[in-house]
Amino acid sequence: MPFVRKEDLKDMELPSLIDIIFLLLIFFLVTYSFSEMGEETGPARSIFDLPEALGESPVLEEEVLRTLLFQIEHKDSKDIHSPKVVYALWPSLSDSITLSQALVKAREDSSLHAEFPDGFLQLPDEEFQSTPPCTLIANSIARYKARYFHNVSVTNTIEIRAAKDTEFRIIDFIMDCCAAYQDTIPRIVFHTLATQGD
Amino acid sequence: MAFKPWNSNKRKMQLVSLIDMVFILLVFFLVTIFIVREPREEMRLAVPTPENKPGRAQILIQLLPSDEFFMIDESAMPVVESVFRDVENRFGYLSVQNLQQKKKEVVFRVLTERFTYPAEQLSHKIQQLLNKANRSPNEKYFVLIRCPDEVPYARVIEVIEKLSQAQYNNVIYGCVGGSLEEIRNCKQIRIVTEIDEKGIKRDNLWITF
Amino acid sequence: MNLNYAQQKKSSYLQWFIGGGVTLAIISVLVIRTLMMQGLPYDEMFLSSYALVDSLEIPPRPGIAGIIITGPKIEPVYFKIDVQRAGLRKLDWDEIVAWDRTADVKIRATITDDGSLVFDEVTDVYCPGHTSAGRIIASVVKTWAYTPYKTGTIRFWFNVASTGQKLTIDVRGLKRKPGIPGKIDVFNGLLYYIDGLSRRDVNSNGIVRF
Repeated sequence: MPFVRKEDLKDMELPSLIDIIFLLLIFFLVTYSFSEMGEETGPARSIFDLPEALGESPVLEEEVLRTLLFQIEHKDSKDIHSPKVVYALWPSLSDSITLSQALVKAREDSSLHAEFPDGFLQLPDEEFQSTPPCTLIANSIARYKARYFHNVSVTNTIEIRAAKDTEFRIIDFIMDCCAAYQDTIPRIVFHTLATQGD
Repeated sequence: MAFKPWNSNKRKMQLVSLIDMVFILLVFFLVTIFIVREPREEMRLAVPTPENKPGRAQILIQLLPSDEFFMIDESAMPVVESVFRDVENRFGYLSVQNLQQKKKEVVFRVLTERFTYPAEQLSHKIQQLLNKANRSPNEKYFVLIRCPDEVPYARVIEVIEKLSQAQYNNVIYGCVGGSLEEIRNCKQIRIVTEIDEKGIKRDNLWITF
Repeated sequence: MNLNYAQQKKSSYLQWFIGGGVTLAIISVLVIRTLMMQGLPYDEMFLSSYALVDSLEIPPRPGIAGIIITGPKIEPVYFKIDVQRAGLRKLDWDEIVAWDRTADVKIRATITDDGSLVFDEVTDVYCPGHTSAGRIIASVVKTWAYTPYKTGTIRFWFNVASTGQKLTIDVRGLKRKPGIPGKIDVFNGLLYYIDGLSRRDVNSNGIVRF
């Protein structure tokens, strides 16, 4: 009687399985990331011209807006001589709104953005403070403070996200508006890019 | 009849596959690290808002439109005292008001000549301050940064970025708008002897707007 | 044989199970982490296992109504024996006691502008009946010098037999030197240079009458 050998049991090739899983994972990670970088959800964060500094905490991509934020940029991001525009970005209590979503909304709503006039640096203080962007800034801070900042707290902050070449006069005006409420708004938070080499 | 040995199909360790797997893991982590790093992170930098009272500081950094900066600290006091004595000796015949005005003009001129530096020296000066702060962790140093309207705010951020590198976080900063012209046109520059909250007597330089 | 085959088969299923499980676990951790990181602020992603005490305080804020630059410390100066001076001699109290247990010597001296102690050994030293002790004490005290912050009259009374007031120093006649700016405080330091005398036996603010 001929003996029939049982078939060799096929053992699982574990390393090969893991190889394939990781290869697939890497493939999907890389393709997902590249596709996200190409997406236009607003101005690409990586090209916004922020000054460099190491701050207190990182801002993750597409993070929910935490407080009133003023974004100051050139009207035409490719032309550094174009006038500066300020956008007032309001957070939302009911649904989380990200910075880019708020920016899109502010661009569409004329009550949430205003352009600085040419030669605003030479204007005397009273005239400068009555320009539309300064009025927008002052009113936004006043409304936001009335709604959300009831007590003195170090966590009451207003954020500024401004192009590197934004003149200090604009920043100074925002700081003065906050200073009018004494210790109620004790700090302003600047968005900066992490310094090179970190 | 030849039988195949009973344990012939005993598995041997797949060394090549193991090495292969290690390399795959390596590539995986390298790729994920690079993805996380690009684009550069945004950070939050908190700066205190100003208040309407005289600003006390150990160091004053006045940024200038011409890329230079004016920086004074306690080392300016002997210079101011010496200028005041000199002006009193030479112009003692003037009325009190005119003498004050003269002192202010001369002291401003001497201070700006002696304590204005080119932009390249900013890092060095701040590093000297940080070294001093690192040697005395229990002392707090407040730096007042004044910036003219037309200067880009990124220059202030640059100064703050350097100041925030103090080892013991004992260098505190604040920034306000202001120009050197405002200091030149101030009401009065004088030295006032004061006792601080620790009971230490100091000669403080008062610039009143 | 059947038993071995069954064991091997079981072992094979077990390997599949473990391998698959580990791989799925790694993938699910990565996927969950990526999902977690979407939209949440960084400092709200992870909760600490202990309650953090809110120790934030309002930071110091810069002022705009004027500038006050803190100046250097004004250190006070001390009027005291200047141990750096050449020729300074220490008075050995035990020697004085050995000479005369009841020695009672008064000295009236003047501090000059440079801090030197000046007196006449005949008219400014009062030591009735204790001339030897008086001479020794006077010869040592004459070498004493002080830091140049005060001038005027200083009086010493060496009363060896006393308990608690073996040395009394009268500084009422001293005034701060005119050239010293008013903002600098001048305090009295150690006004005697004596070995073997306890501080408890010294009164540096006493009255000495001739």
